[in-house]
Amino acid sequence: MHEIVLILASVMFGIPFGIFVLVAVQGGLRDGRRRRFVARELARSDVLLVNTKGLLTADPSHPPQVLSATVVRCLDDSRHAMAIFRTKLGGEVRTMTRLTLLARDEVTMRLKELARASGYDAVVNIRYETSQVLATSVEIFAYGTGIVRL
Amino acid sequence: MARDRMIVVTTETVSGHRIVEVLGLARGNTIRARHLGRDIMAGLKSMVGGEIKSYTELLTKAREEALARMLEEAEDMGANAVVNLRFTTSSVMQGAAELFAYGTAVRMEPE
Repeated sequence: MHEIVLILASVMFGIPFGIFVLVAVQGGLRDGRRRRFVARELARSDVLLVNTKGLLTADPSHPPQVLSATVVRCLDDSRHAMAIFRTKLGGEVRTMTRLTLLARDEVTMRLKELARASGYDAVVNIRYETSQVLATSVEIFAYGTGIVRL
Repeated sequence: MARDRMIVVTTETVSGHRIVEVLGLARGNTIRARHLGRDIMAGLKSMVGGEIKSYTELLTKAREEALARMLEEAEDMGANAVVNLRFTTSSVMQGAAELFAYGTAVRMEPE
């Protein structure tokens, strides 16, 4: 009798917990791969990104255009729980810092890709906006003006 | 510290200096949570109003940290100055604030 209860309990709690752990590990691995990919793309120097207005001179024969990119990312449940625990203790919330870093790299890369696809070689006057969409998610929005340099 | 070696300005140009190379965006961020003990004090303080000194101090420190990270990135790019520095602050989760600093990393020479 006791054995049956034990087996039932371990199945009832073990399977959901196993899924929880597997999903978190898979998410961590996927984020790591994505981070390396994005870092490589950002390191490519074909499109120059600056947040100034006047440092680069634009070629007047190519009309400039507003380019924008956005991304919404959230933490997985276990890292979110860690983040909430951290807000009770005070100090830096590392999981959230890493999340926003990744989201901001991602959005910067998308802006760069968009500029390249539209035939521009620089994005000037870049601005970043950050907002909270759900309790556990962050939206990063980046916009700038695509130009062809003289 | 990187701060002492670098020219950091919110303007696009620095008089008496010429920008020889534009290197790209430099960014730095940090997310800070408040302390539960400080929270209670701040709660009491908000009854009477006025400056919440512990939070002022907390955000100042966090902003310094974001700036230091940005300068580190700029140094890695080979810059000796950051122009057009911007700060943004946002709330990304309950009880925590994000401080973000970004600017354009450049190489400058005195004229």
